[in-house]
Amino acid sequence: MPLYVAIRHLPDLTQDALKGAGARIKSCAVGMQTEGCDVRWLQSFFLPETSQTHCYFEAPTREAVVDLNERAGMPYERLVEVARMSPDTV
Amino acid sequence: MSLPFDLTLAAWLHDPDRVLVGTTQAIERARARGAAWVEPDDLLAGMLLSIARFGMVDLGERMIDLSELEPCFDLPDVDVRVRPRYTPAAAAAFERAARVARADGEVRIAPIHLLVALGDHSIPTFARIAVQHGIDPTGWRRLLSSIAPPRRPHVPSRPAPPPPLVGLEELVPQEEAARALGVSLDVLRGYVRAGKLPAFRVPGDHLTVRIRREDLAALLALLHALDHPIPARRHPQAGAPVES
Repeated sequence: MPLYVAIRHLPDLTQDALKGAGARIKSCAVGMQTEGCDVRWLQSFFLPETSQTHCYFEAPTREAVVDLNERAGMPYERLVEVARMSPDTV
Repeated sequence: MSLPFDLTLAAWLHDPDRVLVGTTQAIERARARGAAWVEPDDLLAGMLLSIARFGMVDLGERMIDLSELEPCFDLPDVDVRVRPRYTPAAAAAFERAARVARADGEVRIAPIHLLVALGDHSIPTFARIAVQHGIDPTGWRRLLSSIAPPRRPHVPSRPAPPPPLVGLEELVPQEEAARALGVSLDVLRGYVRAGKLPAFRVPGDHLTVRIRREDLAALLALLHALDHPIPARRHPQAGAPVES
C-alpha cells in the first residue's frame, strides 16, 4: 500500500486543536473505509521549531488522502508519496 | 451477580473508542440526508446513538427516548456516494471537546466530552431535548457530570512481587476469612486461586494456608466500595435452585 505524507504549516495550532483534528481524521478514515476505500492515518509528528505537522497515511491512491483531509477539514501545504525505509530494510 | 464495573452507559460515555461509533453514526446521518456536510447536530445525534440502548439514553436522572426526537433519528437507506465533510462548526466542536477532556484530566476525547461540547441551544437536537426535558446547557453539564467514570478492576501491570515476610499473628485461618467475607470455604479458595486474595502457607506446616488480615481488610473495603453485595452465607439444600 502506498504511503503518503501531508505536510502542514499550522503556527497557531493548540494541543486541543491538534487532538480535535486527529479525532476528525480518524472518524473520516473509518467513514471512507465503509465506502470501500482502505485509507489509514498511521501517525503524525509535530515539529515545534517550524510549526509543521507531518501526517502519514496509507492509501491506495493520492486522491484518497486528498479526500480524507478535505472531509476532516484539514489543510496542508504539500502531499507527497513517501519511500519507506527502516533499519530492517537497509 | 453484579459485576464490579459498569459495562454499559458509564463505560460507553467514558470510552474514547466509542467516539468512532458516534462519528460513524453522524456521518451516516449526514449521508442519509444527502448532505455534503456533517453538522454539529449530526455529531450530537451520533454521540447519543453511540450510548443508546434500544433507542433509550439513560442519563441517570433523565431518560432520553431517541424515538421522540424523530425524524432526526429515523435513518433511511444510506447513499454511499454522498461524501460529507465536517463543517467548521463541527470541527470546532471537536476542539472544544478536546479542551473539555483536558479539563477532565483525560488524554483522549470520549463521548461524554463531545456531549458536553454540543450542549447548546443552537443545535436543533439539543434544543428538542431542552424543551422535552426542561433542561438548559448548564443543567445538561450538571447531568453529565453526575455520571461518574466506571470503576475498572485493578489489573497489575507487572507480576506481583514475592509475598513479604509476615508474623503469624497477622495471619487468619481460611475459615475465619470466609466468615468475615460471608462466603463458603470453597468460594474463598476460589478467590485465592483466582488471585483475588493472597494466601500464605505457615512455615513448617505447608498444608496450612492462611490469609493476611491486611489483605482481608483490603478485599472487604473493595467489595464495600464497589457496592458489591456480599452474599449471605448459604448452605443450599440438595435440589434447591442455585443462583448464578
